[in-house]
Amino acid sequence: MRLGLLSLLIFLPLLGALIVAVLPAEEERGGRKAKAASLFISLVELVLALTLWARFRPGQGFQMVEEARWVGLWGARYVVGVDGISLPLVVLTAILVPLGILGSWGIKNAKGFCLVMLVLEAGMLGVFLALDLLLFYVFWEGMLFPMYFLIGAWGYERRIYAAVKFFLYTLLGGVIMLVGIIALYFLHLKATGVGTFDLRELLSFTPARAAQLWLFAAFLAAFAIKVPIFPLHTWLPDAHTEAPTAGSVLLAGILLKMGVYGLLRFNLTLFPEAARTFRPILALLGLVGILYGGAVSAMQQDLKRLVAYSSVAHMGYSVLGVALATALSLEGAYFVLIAHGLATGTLFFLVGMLYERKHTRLIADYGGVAGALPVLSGFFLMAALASLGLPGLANFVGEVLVILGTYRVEPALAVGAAFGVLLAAVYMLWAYERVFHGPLRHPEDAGLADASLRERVVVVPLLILLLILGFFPRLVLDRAGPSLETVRERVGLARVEAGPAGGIGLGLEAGE
Amino acid sequence: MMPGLAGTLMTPEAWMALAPALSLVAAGVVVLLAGSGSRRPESQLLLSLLGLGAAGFFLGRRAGVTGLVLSGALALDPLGRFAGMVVVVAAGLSLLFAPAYLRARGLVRPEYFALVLFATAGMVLLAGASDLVSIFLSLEVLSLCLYALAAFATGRASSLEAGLKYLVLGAFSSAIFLYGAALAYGATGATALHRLGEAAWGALDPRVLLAGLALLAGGLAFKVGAVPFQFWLPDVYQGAPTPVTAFMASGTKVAAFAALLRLLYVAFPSARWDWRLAAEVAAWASMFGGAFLALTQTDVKRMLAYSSVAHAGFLLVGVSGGTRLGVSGVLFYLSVYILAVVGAFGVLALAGLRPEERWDLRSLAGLGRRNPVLGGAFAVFLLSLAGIPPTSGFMAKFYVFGAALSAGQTPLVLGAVLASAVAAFAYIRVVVALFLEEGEAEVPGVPGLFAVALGLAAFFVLALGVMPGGLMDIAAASSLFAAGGM
Repeated sequence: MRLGLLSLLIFLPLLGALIVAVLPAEEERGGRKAKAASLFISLVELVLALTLWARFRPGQGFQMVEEARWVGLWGARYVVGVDGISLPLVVLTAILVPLGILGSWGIKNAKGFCLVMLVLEAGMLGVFLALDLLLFYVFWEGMLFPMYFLIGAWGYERRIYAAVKFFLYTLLGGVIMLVGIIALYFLHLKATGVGTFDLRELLSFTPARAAQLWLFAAFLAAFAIKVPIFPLHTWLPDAHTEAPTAGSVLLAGILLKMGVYGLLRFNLTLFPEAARTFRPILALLGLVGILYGGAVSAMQQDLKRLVAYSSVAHMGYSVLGVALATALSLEGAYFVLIAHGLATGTLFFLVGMLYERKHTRLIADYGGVAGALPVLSGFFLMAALASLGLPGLANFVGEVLVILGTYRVEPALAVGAAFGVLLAAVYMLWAYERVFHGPLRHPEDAGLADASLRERVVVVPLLILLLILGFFPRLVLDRAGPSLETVRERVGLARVEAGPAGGIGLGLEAGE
Repeated sequence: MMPGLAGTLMTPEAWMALAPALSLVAAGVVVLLAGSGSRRPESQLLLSLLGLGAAGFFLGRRAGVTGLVLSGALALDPLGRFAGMVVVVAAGLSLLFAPAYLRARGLVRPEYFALVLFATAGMVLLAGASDLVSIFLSLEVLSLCLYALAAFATGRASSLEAGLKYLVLGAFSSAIFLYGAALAYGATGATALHRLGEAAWGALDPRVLLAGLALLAGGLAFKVGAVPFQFWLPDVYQGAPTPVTAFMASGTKVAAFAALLRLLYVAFPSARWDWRLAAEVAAWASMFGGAFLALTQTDVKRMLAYSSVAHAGFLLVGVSGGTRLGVSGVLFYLSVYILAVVGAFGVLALAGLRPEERWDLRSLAGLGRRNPVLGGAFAVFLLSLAGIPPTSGFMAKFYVFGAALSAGQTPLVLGAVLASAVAAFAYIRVVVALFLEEGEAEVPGVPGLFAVALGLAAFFVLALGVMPGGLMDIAAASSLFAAGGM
């Protein structure tokens, strides 16, 4: 039994939640102690995550593995470890949680809120760090209820509807994955005589093709709902829109990423043959997501809903890149994850700040507020530009890598994906213009207060990160790259060096 | 029993098999005698807990002993021991609700405790009964006590109705069981389960034996509340005093499932293909019937009753696998299920401390906001029943579904996970009411004994969800029957 940094990362927030639980509620003073305690814990988490970042050695597979006995009868063990795919996501989680707490400083029933945020943090980190499939599943589903609670208790008007919809959708996907996990366990048991949920051991076992297809589909059920992949996205606009700001930030910033993370971690590596079979359909669905999400975003009246739908479009790039599984497209897909987490997280923070000022999310209720809110307006512009993929900001790198990777395999898809960038420019800039520019539509808006110090502290680090990653994408890709390369090798597609390979029909399998 | 045989029959092992039930009966008699003058339910509770403790002690002493005693009427085996322990825990936990509840409703009478103890004795015997006659006798012992307990709130029409309904339909199910026993005896000339298993090959007419099997299993399915034998269950669960419901929903299910396992695995191993199919059909019907009907309820007590039907279905998934892994899965499931179900009904029993007893969703709205600890405990029980990690309900479902997958029942398991998602919706509606709705819930004061029972249950529901390894090992080691069959 070896426990260390990773276990500390996972369990410290739970300890923090216990501490918060016994603190006095202090409702009349806004739960100051609870907020301070949870902010402190989440900042310690950030320090731990950065320590992990510093100690990580790229290209060495799973590192800092910690193991302990757990469910002995089933051969399930407590196994956590980090590799290039999980590391940036762990750090992203550790960044967004303290900002989420700080960004929700005025929330009512702060004690409960802080408790839920810390439990969520533990669950999210557990999902990224677990290397045992049963342990992964426990974290995966264990996170469901706190998130449901966050939406349902602190959300907007239709919060209960949105929370229940989120819960049932993800639960349904999750239980189907559970059947897949257990089925994989028994296939491995039958083939090798060893019953294990340990990912590292399962990786050395390849089920028969027919079994792979079923298992791939079972895992896909959970991940496709989480990403979400069109047409399973219908829970997302409701959940993201009705959730409180911190909930939307974590949903968009972390939870959606778990879907793509799952595809990379499990679907592609455990079932490579099936991944090749599912390649065209997933790639197409990714493209549909890009175009559909973009088009629907452009039509939204509600600013928050617009940002929510833009997530469908952005995650479409990730799905497309993961599905094609070339070196470039995987790196791009992965980079989109991080960039989207930062950019869309920022946008949700900013929409929340606007709402706190005017108590409306409708674009039509704003107009020309840039004069009163120059700083917020500037923040929003930068986040919007990042989100629409302006060169120099993080999203650009990811989307370009995906589009390039796609072009080498199937140019037609790349053209469609590139059109999505155009759509993003349309809906983002149009929304920005309608909210912030033009004549001041509501005279009383002239008196709105600009970004407070606390709000600047929340937003500025995210914008700086977007800028840094826009110029130095290697910060992430050097760490993720080797791990993504092993994924690509397992899928077994040749590295594409040359230009367009042309398509045969959709030509996806033969494309390389 | 003939006098001359007593010496040879009453071996030390026989006493060992009877000791738990005898100590429960003795405690019941003492409660009746000592309690008739006393109005203090706490002292009666203490005596009852002593009896339960003694029963647990004697069950614990049985470790490692395997065999049949009293001419095969009772089995001393790990399965009976495990199920007996679980029954004792369920009885002990649900008894903790009794004093405050009885006092608030003006029902303080020592009969309550005595009847619970006698019923527990019946359940412990049923968990080890290995002969059609002894199964029937222990079934009757527990059922007769439960009929009276269901009607214990004599001033309330719904309680009397529950008792009467349970009595009439229960008698009907007893008749079904007896008819099945007669057919099985007619076909093979035996009533001991292991003899039935041996004689099955030479049965005069296998069709008669199969008809007997169907009727015997039907009689037990009535007790566990599996479709199509569930009609009594919602009314009885709803009408009975809530601490009684907690006891019925937990203890009866454990004992009856133990008997069902023994009947199917020991007496009818050769008919495995027949009963596996029947159990699968009953599992499908119970899971989906229970889950969908639970969805339509606005009364939480009734919703839990229907969900109990769904849980009978999930347990039948484990039974229908026909494997040892399935048996141990069922045992593990039962042992964590009782914690959640006793806890959930315990929270509802708090409503009985107020003049007007209500369990509808509206009466619970906002409870979790006003008393987060109580609401949180209730949510833990509900999430465990829904099978959401990290509660132990998830580990239980994982175990039985895994066992069924290993037996190749993939469609059944897919159905089971879908049904559990449907059932989860029913539980989530209650959690929504507890925490997310503004409501009129009066925050009940929680008496000390309630707090102890609910706290223990909630703690173990979570602890066994996070660290299920130990109990799983015990359940796996307990999936052994005394006589053949496996």
